[in-house]
Amino acid sequence: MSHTSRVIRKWHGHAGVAATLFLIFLVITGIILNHEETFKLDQREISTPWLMRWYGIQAANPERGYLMDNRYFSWEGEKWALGDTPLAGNAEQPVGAVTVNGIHYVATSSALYLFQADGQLVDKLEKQALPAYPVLALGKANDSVVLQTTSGMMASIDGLTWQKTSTATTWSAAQPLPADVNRQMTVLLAPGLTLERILLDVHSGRIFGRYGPWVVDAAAIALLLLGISGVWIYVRSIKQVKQRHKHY
Amino acid sequence: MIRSSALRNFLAMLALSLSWPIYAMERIYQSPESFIAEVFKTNPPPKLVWLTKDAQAIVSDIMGHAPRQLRQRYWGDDTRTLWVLEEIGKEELITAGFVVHQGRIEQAKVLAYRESRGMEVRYPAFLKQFNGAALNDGKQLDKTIDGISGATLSVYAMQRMARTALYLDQLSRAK
Repeated sequence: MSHTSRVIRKWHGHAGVAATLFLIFLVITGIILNHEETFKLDQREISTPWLMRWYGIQAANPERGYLMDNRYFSWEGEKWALGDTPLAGNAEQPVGAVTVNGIHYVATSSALYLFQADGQLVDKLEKQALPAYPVLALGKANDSVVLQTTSGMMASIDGLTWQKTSTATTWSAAQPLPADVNRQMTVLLAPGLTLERILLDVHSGRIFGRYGPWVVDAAAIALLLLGISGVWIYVRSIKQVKQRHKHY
Repeated sequence: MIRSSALRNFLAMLALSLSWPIYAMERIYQSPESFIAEVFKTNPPPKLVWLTKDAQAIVSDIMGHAPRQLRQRYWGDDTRTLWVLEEIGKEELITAGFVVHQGRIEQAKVLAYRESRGMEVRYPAFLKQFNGAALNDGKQLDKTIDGISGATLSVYAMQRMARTALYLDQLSRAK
């Protein structure tokens, strides 16, 4: 065996051992990502505080909310919660929240959401489905929910049919959250990332910072070299076997 | 000279396309109000279907998840109903309108598409496949809908919404 062959075999072995761990890591994350729908990776949110700190995402600190039926409605980013129940929210900032006839109404400037007491969404009226928008404020008058819009005040008893009104209305107003509610909301409304995003970042090396992808690139090139050196060793060994057969 | 300029442009476009991240973008093809006016030639008031526990269970079975909302608005006249539904293809909501006539889909239309890819489901050639489809006893469509490569999840979402529209039409007529 020539000196070159010995050197290549030696480095092939070392690189093979070193690359095995990387290969396992790539294969496992790759297979999981390839079946993201089966594992519902895009529906699983991780909001572990240390991981969020690692990503540089600030913790939630909701300070204001609307009092609805002795429970606070609050929000942070696109997350909404009523008491201890997360709600199907929206990235738009709420402009008002009231409870009328047991239904919790939350308005943003372009949509009105109706929730049951258990947090189940009853209906969502957006833009043209509203009597007018943008919505400036939300209030209640007797058994009606009232929208303050640029076209005037509109009242409805069911969030479906609306009529202009000038009835005295109690407008909802956001107020500072009590300390215990703030603590509860901080946990409920904590920002998170989907498992899919985290696994993609792990797979590509981005989770390890700006040099992570370069490290993964280097490891991928090492794997390529491993393959090339493996082919070289294989071809050499076949040639050597043929030469031995010629000698005998 | 022309060649080097063309090559430069090509390389610039290639670099731009490779560096441009794929973002989900909302594409609104038609507003629900415009679709309703187009179908009925008037502006009919919305009607409501409330989902009872049993209906919620059936819609959950069709959609593969709990209904997004407990009451569903629809528009209709004596013979037809129109449903505007939303469903996630992969990550974002697709808004589609379905017109149902005598228990069969008369028209399907994608009104808004927000996924980064798969928007081929909006093409009439694909949507025409829904025309005439009804629900069988297993709450499945009684005709086969051919898929689109690369838009499989959007195709499935459209099928789920079509089945839901047909089921909701049955509920509205049972009232």
